[in-house]
Amino acid sequence: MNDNANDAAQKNMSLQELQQALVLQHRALFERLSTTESVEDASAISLEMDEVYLRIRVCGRLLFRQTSEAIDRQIEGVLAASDQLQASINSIARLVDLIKAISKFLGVVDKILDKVKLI
Amino acid sequence: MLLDRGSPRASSSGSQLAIMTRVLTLAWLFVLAACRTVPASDEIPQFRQGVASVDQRTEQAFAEINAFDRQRMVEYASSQKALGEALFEQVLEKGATDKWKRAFGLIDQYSKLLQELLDPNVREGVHTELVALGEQFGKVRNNELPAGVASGFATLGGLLVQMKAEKDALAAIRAADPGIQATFASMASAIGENDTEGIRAVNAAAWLQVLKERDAAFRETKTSDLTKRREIATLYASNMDERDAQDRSLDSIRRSLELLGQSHAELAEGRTQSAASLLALVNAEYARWSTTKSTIEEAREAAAEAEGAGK
Repeated sequence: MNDNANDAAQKNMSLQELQQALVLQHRALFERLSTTESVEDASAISLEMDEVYLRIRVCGRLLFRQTSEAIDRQIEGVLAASDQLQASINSIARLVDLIKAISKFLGVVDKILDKVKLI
Repeated sequence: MLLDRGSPRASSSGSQLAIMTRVLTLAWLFVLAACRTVPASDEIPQFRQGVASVDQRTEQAFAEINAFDRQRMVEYASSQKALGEALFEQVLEKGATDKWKRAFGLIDQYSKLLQELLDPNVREGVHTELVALGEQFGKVRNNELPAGVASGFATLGGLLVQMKAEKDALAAIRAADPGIQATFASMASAIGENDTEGIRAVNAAAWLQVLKERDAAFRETKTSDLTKRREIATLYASNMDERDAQDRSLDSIRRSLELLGQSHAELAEGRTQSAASLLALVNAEYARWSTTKSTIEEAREAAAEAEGAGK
């Protein structure tokens, strides 16, 4: 690894900064590879690239895990809003049921009154 | 108390009721007009559709990235002295991708409830029941209610329910908005603003590994074997095209997440027209993503052809 990547690792860098440093390192090696004619040098650079890629993967994996955990916490607010919505839907449904019940009750009352009038 | 149809008290009471109903209806209409715009039932299905499309694209992208990374690790493992499970752990692990799935599912559920609450049929249902109730009132009073009064109450009742539904919907959207913004921002950040960040960085690095392998194969081929060298060079170029297209596809997903977040913020502010425009952009992003996927497929086919030609 070159000096920049070493410095980055040693400082208390954020995982994102470390990933970025590794990615730039990986690209720098690739650029060197494209200008290398020596077979031995090309092989050595290729091995270095493999090792840096492994670390990019590890960083990527950890970052993705961290962010996914944050997403899992952040979505809870939406859950609460959904409960509010369900309560509102239920209250309208209860209103409709109430109106239906009153209509039905009045229908029954009407029939009773009709019978009373006949007596 | 039941009043006789012909009684002066009954007709005076009836006309007062009619006047009161008209006044109340006008008052509520003024209140309605003064209220901030609430989402019409059109914007919510569009939002929901946008979320579903991003969910599907994200799931597909994660599967492709994991599969592609697996191939790279197989290449790396073949040069090692021994194998081990640690070599093949997924870069986007299942426990983490499940959290994305859960988040999209909860946002879909929330959108579905919004749609249900804002459904015009809800108001119609209330209106219908109130009309039936109004008719029953008329029968109990042993006369018909003054013309239009029962219908007026039913309309007013329906309006009041609609107002309540819209007010509750807006309150819920505002309550959900911080969570929605944070979630979409985190997702966009996870994908990466450019190809040196997040998932895009891992994917770009994986492609460099492929190009490195092509370069190694090229160097190992005799300079006199032009056919083979031409084939490898063609593959190298196709791989570059596929890499760039895949990165554009990931960027499109990131952009769609940002647009969905912005559209929800507009809904929370009651700005339905802005929200509708942003949601139209989400659809445009989907169309762009579909085109990019076709480019990726073409690049893959070109690479497969180039590899087949050399055999």
